[in-house]
Amino acid sequence: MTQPGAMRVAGDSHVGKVRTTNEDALIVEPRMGLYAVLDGMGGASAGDVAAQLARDTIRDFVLHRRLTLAPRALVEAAIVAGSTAVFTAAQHHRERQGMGTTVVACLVVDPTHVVIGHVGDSRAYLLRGGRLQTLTRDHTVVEELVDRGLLAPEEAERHPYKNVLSRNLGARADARVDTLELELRPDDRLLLCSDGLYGYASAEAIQYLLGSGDAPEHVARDLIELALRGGGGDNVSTIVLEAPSAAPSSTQVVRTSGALAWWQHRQRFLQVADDGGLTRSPIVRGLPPHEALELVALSLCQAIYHDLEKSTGVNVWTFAQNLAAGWFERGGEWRAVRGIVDILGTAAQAVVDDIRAAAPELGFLLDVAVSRALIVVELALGGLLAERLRQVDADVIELHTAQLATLEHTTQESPALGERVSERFIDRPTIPFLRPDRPVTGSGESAEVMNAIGKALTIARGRLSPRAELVAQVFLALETVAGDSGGNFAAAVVSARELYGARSVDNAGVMPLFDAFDKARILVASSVQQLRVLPPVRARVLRALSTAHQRLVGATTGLVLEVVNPFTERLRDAQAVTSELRDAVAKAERQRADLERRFATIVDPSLPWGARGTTEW
Amino acid sequence: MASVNLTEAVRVLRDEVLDTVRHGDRDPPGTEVFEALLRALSIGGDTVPGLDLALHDAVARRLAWGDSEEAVLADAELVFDRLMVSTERAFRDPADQIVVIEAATQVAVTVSRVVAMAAVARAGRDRAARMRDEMSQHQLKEVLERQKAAIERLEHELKQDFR
Amino acid sequence: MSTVPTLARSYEALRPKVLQRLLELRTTLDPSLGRLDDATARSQIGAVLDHLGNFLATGDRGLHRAFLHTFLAMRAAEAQSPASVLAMLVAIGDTAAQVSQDEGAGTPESAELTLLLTRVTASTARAVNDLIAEELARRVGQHGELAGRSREAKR
Repeated sequence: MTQPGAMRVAGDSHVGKVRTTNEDALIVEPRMGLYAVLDGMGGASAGDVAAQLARDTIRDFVLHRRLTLAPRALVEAAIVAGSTAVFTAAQHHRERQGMGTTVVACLVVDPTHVVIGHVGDSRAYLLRGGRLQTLTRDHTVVEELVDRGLLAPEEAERHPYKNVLSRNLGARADARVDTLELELRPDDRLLLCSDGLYGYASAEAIQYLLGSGDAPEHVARDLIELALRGGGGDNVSTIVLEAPSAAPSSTQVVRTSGALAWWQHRQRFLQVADDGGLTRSPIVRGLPPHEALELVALSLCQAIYHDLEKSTGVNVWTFAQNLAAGWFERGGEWRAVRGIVDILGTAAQAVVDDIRAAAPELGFLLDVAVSRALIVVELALGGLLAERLRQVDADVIELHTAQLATLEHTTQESPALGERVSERFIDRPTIPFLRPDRPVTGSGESAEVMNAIGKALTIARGRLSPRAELVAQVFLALETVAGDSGGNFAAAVVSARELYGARSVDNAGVMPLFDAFDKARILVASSVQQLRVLPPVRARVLRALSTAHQRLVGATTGLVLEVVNPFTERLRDAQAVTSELRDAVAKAERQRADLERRFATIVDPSLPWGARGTTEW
Repeated sequence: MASVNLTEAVRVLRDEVLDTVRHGDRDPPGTEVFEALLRALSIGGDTVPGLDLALHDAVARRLAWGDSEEAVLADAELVFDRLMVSTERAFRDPADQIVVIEAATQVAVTVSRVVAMAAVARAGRDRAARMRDEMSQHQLKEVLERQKAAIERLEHELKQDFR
Repeated sequence: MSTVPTLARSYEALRPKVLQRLLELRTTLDPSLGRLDDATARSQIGAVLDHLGNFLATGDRGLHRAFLHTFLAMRAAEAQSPASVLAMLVAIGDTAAQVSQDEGAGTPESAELTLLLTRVTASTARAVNDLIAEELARRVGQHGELAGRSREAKR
């Protein structure tokens, strides 16, 4: 246990398993109470230059200005100074242009008061009462879109651009720094880390290690090991700060006498659990009764005991997760989990009631502590249920999508052989071709060049495998587009539609076409080199074919954009319906809440709590 | 021309290809394409598809910030066309023209591919989001039914109590 | 134990302080609360605190469940995961208990209110999990139907 008044801090960093350079930097300065994690970025080791430069600048700034600036202003100004230093350095070295770094910094004003400042996606977490909270919000483009209401938080987690930063030190001379002040409570733990940790370790695992009660230096290292086991695809850095323990208080009473009293009543716990039918639960079917009691009831009893001792929730959390996760994996239903948890809750309450009868004050404190432990059980179970729900939703969506795709594919008309697709050309050409300032290139080539184009394509076809039908179709399209004297636009659109045909709107449907384009481009380029023509003609041939190729690919991409637009429109329609329903529910809720308030004023106060309300679900 | 000299020679074309006079920005539209071209030329202009992660990131960043796929595509196509005109004018040696044309084509079609991938991914996300919305609607309709029942019940209870 | 109307009244007296503490701490309590503007956060948190007061007075589990069902569905429509809604509700209950402890200066009444609020939070968490499990069962059923149709289509 920590001595009252002393804050413990430790930091660690690792290059990870994939990168060759560690572009993270740390500040661990107990004399100044300054701690920070920086994560550099930029090619050719510019990232570690940026991180180290910002680190040194921030540290020096705080050292020299800490007596003249208020804590929050000090943190903000120091980080801005770091950004200026990195930006200026980048301007003077071409190979360092674009370098930058994130930062999350903590200034300890006194053992109960800290200021945290951050820019980027390095994070600060708080562990309090066994539960992990994220203190900072990542400065990523996706988070900014969520803030503006343009993206849902759930979608942000899955978004392909979720790692694209919106703010970092060095992009500009100044920086927008987010700061917050925090009052620390006894035994709180703060974690500062780079994205190399949370990108490779779950929040639950981080919570578990941080709440283990081990010394900060062990925790800092264990967190890094966790990230490495999770893949270690990035540099990883951690700083763990532990607030001092409290002087003797109700918390101390629970940790010592309370935990002991609880453990001394374990037989009572087991007895009540047995009487409640725990051994008959489907979850322990097949186990002898005494084993079932040991495996489940005694395990929870022990977990509560250890958590009471350390004022944490990590052991109870782990117990609940292990109990339910194993059961769900075996296809078990929720009802069984609810049943066994209720039995255990009743047993816990029986023990607390006994202790309260013998020692009212101690029993009362335990009542609160054990109720909190049962809350932790529900939180752990809720996490598992939510994850299962997310998984089932994803499976439902996948099944539904596959069924829709099949439907789309079977109902879409494919052009019959020989049908002139130009007859189905739509009125509105694809959008990229509407640009009025676009120069028309590739039209009106000489007969010599046109002849050479034909020869180049013949050479390319000759090198094609017979199975590469799609590439052969691309060559045909290129010939049409290159031969069009009208500037290639219309020919490209028509050819693109013929090539696109009927495809599913997913990577499996669309990407083979782009792969064929790439193969064709490479074959055409090397075939042009083989032409026996004068160099200027060769250059013109390549230019004409490349322009035709670019037109064709551009038209195809424009077509893809057209095909995906209905999905967005249908989503908007659905969102409108949802919005109307939400308004209706909100209105009904206001009415219900009002009635409930009136109902609450007329309850019979002589009835015991829990027996007053008669409204059934 | 050696690749270093060719890269520098193309760099000189920046203002006309990106029309910096009109835009006046540090980064006119299509900058990511031009920068990618310079990178491709500096490594010898090999026509290998999809290796330029910086170009992928730059396009991804523009799309993430809300630029439309059409705008990104249109900028790339405009830069490509201006490059074709400028290349013919600026380089006397056909061999140099060929290197620049190949590199420019590779870059332009890479942008198209990234935009197409982004659009397909967007379709997938929109489709999934619509289904999630429909699931929410189901849940909300159920809630509405239960709220009506709760309101009726509460009104009944209140009437009973006030009699 | 004091009669609950006394405790419910004590809670009502504390409610403004609880709301204030929650508004100050909302970013650290839950990221989704941190994203809301002040007025919306005040209204959302206020609705929970209002209902909590009614539940303390009535002990009516049916009404409690009805409120939670609506709350979960509305948050789900805003793409908030049920686990984070659960965490938010627990955090609100915890904070209310903490404020009761801090402001009560160790009086027997404040201690009882702290205990009652902790138990109510446990009851809330339990009810929310049952609601999530119900929704999960419904979606599993839906998945089964779709999977069945998919198999039929393949034949």
